[in-house]
Amino acid sequence: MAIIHDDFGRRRFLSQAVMGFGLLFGMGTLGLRFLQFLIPSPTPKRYEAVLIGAESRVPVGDAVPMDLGGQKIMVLRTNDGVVAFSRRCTDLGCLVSWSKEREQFVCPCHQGVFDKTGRNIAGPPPRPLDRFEVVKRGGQLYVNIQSS
Amino acid sequence: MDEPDKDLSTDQSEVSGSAPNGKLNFTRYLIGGLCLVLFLALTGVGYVQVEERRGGGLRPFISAENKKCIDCHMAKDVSVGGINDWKYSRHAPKGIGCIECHRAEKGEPDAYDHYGSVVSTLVTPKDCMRCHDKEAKEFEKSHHAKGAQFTNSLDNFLGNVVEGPEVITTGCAGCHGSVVKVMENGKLHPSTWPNSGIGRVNPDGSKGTCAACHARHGFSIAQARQPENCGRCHMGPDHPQIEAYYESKHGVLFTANKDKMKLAQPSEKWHPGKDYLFPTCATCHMSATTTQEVTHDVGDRISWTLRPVISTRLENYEVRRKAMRQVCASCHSEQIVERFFTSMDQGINLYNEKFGKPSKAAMDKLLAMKKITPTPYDEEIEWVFYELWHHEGRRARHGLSKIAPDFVHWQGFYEVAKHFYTKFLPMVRVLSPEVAKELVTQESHKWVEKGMTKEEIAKMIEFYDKEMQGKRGGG
Amino acid sequence: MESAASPVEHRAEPKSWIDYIQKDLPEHLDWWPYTLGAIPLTLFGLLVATGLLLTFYYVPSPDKAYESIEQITNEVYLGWFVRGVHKFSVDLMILFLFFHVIRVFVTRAYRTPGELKWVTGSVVLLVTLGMGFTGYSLVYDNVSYWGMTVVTNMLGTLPIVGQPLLYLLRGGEEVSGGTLLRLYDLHTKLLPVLLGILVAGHVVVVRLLGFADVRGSRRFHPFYPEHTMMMGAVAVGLLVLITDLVMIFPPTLGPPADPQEVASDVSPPWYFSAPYMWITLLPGPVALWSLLGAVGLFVVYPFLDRALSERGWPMTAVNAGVGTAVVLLVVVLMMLDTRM
Repeated sequence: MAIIHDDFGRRRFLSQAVMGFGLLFGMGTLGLRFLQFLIPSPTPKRYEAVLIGAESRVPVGDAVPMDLGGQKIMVLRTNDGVVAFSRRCTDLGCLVSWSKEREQFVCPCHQGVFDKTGRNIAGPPPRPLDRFEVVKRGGQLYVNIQSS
Repeated sequence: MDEPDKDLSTDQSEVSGSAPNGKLNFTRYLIGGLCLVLFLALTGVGYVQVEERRGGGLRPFISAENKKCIDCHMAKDVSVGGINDWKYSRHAPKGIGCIECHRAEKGEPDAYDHYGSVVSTLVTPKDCMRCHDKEAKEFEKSHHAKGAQFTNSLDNFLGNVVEGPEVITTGCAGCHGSVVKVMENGKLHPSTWPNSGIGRVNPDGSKGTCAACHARHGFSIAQARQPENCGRCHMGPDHPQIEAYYESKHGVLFTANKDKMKLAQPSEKWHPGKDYLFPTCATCHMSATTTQEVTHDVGDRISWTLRPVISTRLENYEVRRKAMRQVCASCHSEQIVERFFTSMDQGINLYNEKFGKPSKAAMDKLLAMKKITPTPYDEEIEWVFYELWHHEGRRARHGLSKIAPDFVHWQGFYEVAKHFYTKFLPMVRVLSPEVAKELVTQESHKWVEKGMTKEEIAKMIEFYDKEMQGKRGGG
Repeated sequence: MESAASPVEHRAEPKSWIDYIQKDLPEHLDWWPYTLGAIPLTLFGLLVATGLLLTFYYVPSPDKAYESIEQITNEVYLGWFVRGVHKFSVDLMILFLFFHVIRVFVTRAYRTPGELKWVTGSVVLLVTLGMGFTGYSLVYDNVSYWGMTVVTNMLGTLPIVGQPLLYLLRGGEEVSGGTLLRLYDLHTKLLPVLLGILVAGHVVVVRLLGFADVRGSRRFHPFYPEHTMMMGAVAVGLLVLITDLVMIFPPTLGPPADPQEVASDVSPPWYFSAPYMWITLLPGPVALWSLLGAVGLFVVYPFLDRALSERGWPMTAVNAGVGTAVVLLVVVLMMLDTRM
């Protein structure tokens, strides 16, 4: 009797184990696939040059805000040249504005301040503003933004 | 009473030896097994790649200003084709739209007010130069830009007077370019616009139009690199470049391998011998190689001019020839290149010496002797001479430059010789026997009057006997 | 008369809800035609899961709908798979529902006291078809757009309730963005909840009312673990089948909605093929009213069966005959659709 019991207990255990493993792999993969579907993978960054206009469009000492394909930038022209900054404050992502009198970028959310080189000088921002490469071709300015 | 089923309906998992347990086990195995199959199937699913976003790259980036243009034009159904063409161009994702090219300043000859914007219909190299300064400058100094400057030439007389001025509008100016006239209201005169002739004279002083090759509004580089693009003008009985090209091995290979040509690659990635193997017109005359940059001066690598009655070397021809040889060297060995150019140069010299120079000299003399009127095209001999150098003579020379055997011989030198001997020579003789005699003084023409010497005939027979197994040519 | 330590003793204890579920099923349920009902249940679960996933990418606006589906099918990683599973599950669910209905009809399992089983079941079928319709409309291709237009128009012809119903479904007089949004809400919020409740209700009702007697079948097929395990095996088998089908026949997309032109090849999904043909062949009101009449008859059929069998009609044979006739009619209509 006992032997018969064990025999069946083992069989049961084995079949349960197989089922358990199978379920783990099968349902697990299904769940994984569903999760992969939901979470888009980060796309490799590709940059494209987009025309922003003639250099003369940006007055010296001023920063012109622009929205290029969803990316919000600020094109600042100083005597040293033209730089394109990302308007996203490095603290938590609010948009900075340029103050001509103070020659600074100011973020309204937590009063972060950046100087005209984009360096974070006051407030919570941990690092300087991101830059976009500016290319000049024949009197026209292009900015290398991420292509979507 | 105990109901019979209750006995067996006890807790299943502990029952021994009864079928349901075995069945349960089986079911468990079944589930487990199926799940593993599912796992495999789902693993396969994960490997299926999604296709690249169609159209590739950015979507058109439309600024607020351009959006106004596009919305109104689409709504009114005007030039919708051009807009849709633009959407797929390389300009569109970079934000280069309507305003960037068509904007004009008040006071410019072709500027006019268009629903609140000052625009010009005409987009000239001066406009393209705002971004494409290198290309525009090279183009301006090239022969292409001079295309419309045949106003004082024979061809102009032929078109305007002999044929009729309306021919100029679509015929001559269609390739060479019109002189664009602006009317009072800023609109363009219908006999001069639309026109994409390569030498078009624009109201702003610039010459030519980029759209002659980079057709608007797609401005596609792949389209510009197609031989048919050049062949739109460089074709025909007077300069069959495209026909000769397609006859040549280069053309045959190109046709067979068009899908491998990667015509849309940027010039840094479109080098012959490396990225593609079969040259198009652009390859030799313009495009970048591993040692040269792109040039929009199509004459930069051409050492002969095959256009006039007598072909001459261009200025700085050694530099140009060297540049062309470097292109050939992208694929070919030095020796093969050398041999080709030797044959070509010798062939051109043949044309010059045997047919070109003597016939020109004869015509000059006849004119000086007042045997022909100064008016061109009013006498048959003028037509014969014209076609001799302008048609057959050019065909022969272009055949030589493209290694197109049929154009060299049957469509070229054969007809040159035939018309020279059977038409031109008799006509000259009628007008002046002395000039006719001078015409055929050369060694190469001796056969016509004097026939062949006994030695020459013997040599020919020996050739046929030895090399051609006794078969004498001509059946 | 209880014997000590007998396992029977446990069963005599007050019944908890587990024991209630465990109530024995008749053995004939083991036979495959009687398992057909479990399949749509599994598929419903799959549809809910994949449908939920799809809502993360689908945009219910006329200018974005088609594009978002194109994006899911062609660009999102495994988007084709999720959409494909969703599509195949719909087709299979409705197909197996039809099989289940045929089986129940032929075996007359709705007999007294089980009429409610049939009534709840028939409503489940109707709501499922509604889900099919609303779901397909969301694709906003040609079939979607013209399907939306035609179906809401048909409803609009009903007396009294027609116009308000039309306005309700369309969100206005014409098919518009509002229509799409309403159908989206119906498909993802109202109807799934309703269907879930109805399905649960149907299962509970079946459980409570028991099973009609089948000769020779005794009551000792336990629900757990026997029946549930079998349902589990069926479910996994279905998953494998669907995964393979999706890989072999990945989902495609028809041409986008063109409100200006009705393409000649517009026809509804296969499960509406027969009614579509019916409407095409018969004049408007006749077709609509006969359809509505047939549906009404379908829902109350058990009561008709009871009335007729009391009068001595051999209902088993009648059902076999009627069932065959209806299936043949549907098949003929569907074939006609493929030809026209």
